[in-house]
Amino acid sequence: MASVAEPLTLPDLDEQRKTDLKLDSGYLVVCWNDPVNLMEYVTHVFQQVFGWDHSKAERHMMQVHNEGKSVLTRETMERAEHYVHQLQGYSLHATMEREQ
Amino acid sequence: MKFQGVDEDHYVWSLSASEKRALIMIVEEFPMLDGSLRPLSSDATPEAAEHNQLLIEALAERRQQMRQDARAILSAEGTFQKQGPKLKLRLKRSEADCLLQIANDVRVGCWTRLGSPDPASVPWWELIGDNAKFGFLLDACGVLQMQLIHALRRAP
Repeated sequence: MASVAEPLTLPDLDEQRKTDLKLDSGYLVVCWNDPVNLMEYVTHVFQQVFGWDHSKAERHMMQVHNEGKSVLTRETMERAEHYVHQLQGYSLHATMEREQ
Repeated sequence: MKFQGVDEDHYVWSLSASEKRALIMIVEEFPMLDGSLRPLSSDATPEAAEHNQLLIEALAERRQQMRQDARAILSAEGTFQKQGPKLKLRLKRSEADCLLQIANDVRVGCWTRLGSPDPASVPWWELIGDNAKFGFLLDACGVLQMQLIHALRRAP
């Protein structure tokens, strides 16, 4: 059960790891608007998957709703893929895009 | 269905016998989405196609596991308790989240089967046969989702 429900908590990164990630990052995790998912549900999913507070999650949800999409995070390919898996597991339309 | 509050590490709702039947019906309909319409990325390389296939398989496996988990939750002793003429539903956070995902899947699946109408203007009075069932489930799942989300905003 834990794999389906617990909020993701990522470990703190030391400075070297942060630097490595910065150099390696290059994929955007994008959530796209759809006409059926409830706005409250999308906000809840962002909180669960990214560990964001309600206000940040709601801001991104509104961006999806008003602008058609929201870039949720910029990550390495593996981590972006992980997040997209999580979001699609919640039935949201999410993709990863290589940063231009 | 009405949220009553948090009892130790459980969220508690009061619900009627017919609402319990609707909840079981929702779980029995799950999964309704197959996930194959959502590519992982717009990248058209063979590698991306392979990743996409892996994602579809992983999601299908996950949904089957969730179905088993949800059935276990609903049949577990203590999930439903008699409370006068009604029932008390007790769920841990992980269990409520599992049911929330299931309700969303079934809601979106019903909407798709109804031809993807504007959710605010579904002609309920014209629905017959399977469409009547999908129309009912679309609404029931929406109510269930809002109940669960409202409760999950509180810490257990």
